[in-house]
Amino acid sequence: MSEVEDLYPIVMNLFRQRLDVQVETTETDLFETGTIDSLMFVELTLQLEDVFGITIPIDKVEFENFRSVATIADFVLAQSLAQHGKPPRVC
Amino acid sequence: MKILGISGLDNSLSFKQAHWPHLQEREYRMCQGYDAAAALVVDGVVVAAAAEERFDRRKHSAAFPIHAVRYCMSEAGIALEEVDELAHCFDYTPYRAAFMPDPVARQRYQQVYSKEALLARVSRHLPGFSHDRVRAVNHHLSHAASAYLTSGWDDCLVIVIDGMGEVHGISVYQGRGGRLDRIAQMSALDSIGIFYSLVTLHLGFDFNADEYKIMGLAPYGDPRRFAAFFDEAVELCRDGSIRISPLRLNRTRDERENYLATRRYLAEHLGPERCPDAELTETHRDIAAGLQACLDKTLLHICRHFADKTGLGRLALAGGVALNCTANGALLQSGLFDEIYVQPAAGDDGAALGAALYRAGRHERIPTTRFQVPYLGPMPSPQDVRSALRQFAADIVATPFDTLEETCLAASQCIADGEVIGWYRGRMEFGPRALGHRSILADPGRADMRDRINAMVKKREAFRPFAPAVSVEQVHQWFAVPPMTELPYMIMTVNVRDEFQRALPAITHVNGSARVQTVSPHDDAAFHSLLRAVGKATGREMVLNTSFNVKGQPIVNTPVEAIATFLSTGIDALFIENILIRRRSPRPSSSVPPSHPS
Repeated sequence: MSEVEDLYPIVMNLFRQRLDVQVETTETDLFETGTIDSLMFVELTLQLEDVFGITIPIDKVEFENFRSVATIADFVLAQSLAQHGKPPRVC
Repeated sequence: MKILGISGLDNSLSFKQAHWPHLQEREYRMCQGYDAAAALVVDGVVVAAAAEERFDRRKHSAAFPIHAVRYCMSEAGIALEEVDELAHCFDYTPYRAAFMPDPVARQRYQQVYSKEALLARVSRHLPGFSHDRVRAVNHHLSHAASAYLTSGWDDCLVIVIDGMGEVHGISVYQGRGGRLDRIAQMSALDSIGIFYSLVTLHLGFDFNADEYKIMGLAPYGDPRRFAAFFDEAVELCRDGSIRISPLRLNRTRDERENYLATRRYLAEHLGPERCPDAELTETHRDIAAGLQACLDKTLLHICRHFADKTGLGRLALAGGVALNCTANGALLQSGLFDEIYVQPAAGDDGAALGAALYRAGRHERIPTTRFQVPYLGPMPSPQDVRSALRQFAADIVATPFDTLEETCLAASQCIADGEVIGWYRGRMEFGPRALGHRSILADPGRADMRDRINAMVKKREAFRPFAPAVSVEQVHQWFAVPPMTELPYMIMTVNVRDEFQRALPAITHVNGSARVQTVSPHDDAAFHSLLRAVGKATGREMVLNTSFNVKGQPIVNTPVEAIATFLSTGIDALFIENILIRRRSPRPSSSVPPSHPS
């Protein structure tokens, strides 16, 4: 598996355990299915920060990065590389 | 600097009505932006503040507070061009991305929440006001500033707890040296304010309006019956946060907007939703009791954690939940803090004040002095009073007195005789409570006074208690507090001393508590003089004090409204400043005769 695919199960788990949301697949469109509303969006960013040890400036993010578990994993990896120069540690 | 703060989102309700057209009227209360108000801070000092509802006569009005703004300008004697900044108590801009995925949320952001929407409203209502001088202030930060910058303390813990700000339900700050540093925030997905409001709705009352009625109902019930339900629903976490799983059940847009899944959950676990006019049963009373106990416990949990974490001995509170006098009283009695201050306009009207104070604090040092009793609203001119008297000349007889002392003597005699009086004097209060300037007063020692006032004026639920106003010199005689305890805002409950509970039936709640307002000469010399006079007439420097309005009506603002309300109810006499007003003809037949001492 690639570095980004390693993150998939962790993000899926985050949704299930921390947000009480069951996401069907890593490609499921979280916006189309109504999984993420404004409050959930903010909560998701906080949980991603907590789990992956990255900082997510919510006033600067592109919402499209949060469309699916796969795009979230891409975003998390990119942020971690940019902020820490390495893939995310898992808290 | 002259900074004008405003609250309210005037097209928030119309947006909801357009997108959810078939809701019950009271479901439209599940909407951001009610309680519009304006407050003016000049050189760090609050000079005027008023809620828009007092002008447009729509309770909890969300309208752009243009009348309140005009009043503030007039009070300070300045023109709008002289205002350095207009500060609005919501700032959704940092959360823009969160509203973009859903098309309806995106529209709401653009039309209601965005800075562009605010600027459009400013242009419409205050044409010519420079957009460069318009500031958006985070909602909880506004509340926090309203508490911290009026607390009179340099260093304290500040907790904001309400339904929700932009996206949060609770925020915790440390105030120090005029600055507010955020320590923690909790999502509105776990909002104890929203949860309390949803149970309020379940019990047949209005969301984000009638929570104080549930607080009043609670002492009639048994909190143990539904304790397990509330313990499971509101999880108290080790890090001082809370998690409210029933609020996280909503999955679709409609469910989230109107908390449909949560409401189904409540119906499954607490029994069917009560219709607004249905009888209140033991079950409803027990639910209210369980909910109130849950809130008391939750507030204590949060406060204890952050008191321990920061070591701070002073607490300043604001946000709509901070209007819950019972929870505040429990906090006071817990001994967790050396001192507790609840900003008296803790709801969203007070967020207008906080937005102005916060922005003022960015430019200049705000004086570290405790907020006076907030008599910050309009005061009628003698001409206004004369004009009102002329308008109703056919229906009233007016007797002027030369001095305050004579007025107080006459009013105290009315109260001692068992009459119910309107007491209209000075500047209107800011915040939800009538604190002796737009009040209905009576003798608290009469057994039937609660029913009598309810029947003649308030037309409200019989279970709700009335509050006492007592001189600060006598508060410890009647209530279980140390001598000279100051509780000037009527925002905490304390216990009536056991030996006096039967002697004070009109203000003693079923659990022996009372929502006390203490009055000192410093708070309000005229009201204090009245209490002194009442003391000479009745033996108690105390009155029953309830707001001067009828059910569904905002508290009266103008002398005309005061006289019209007087004439339409069974109030026996009205005092406007130093003028006694009585009806020319007998009272309406529906009114109730003066009661006799118990």
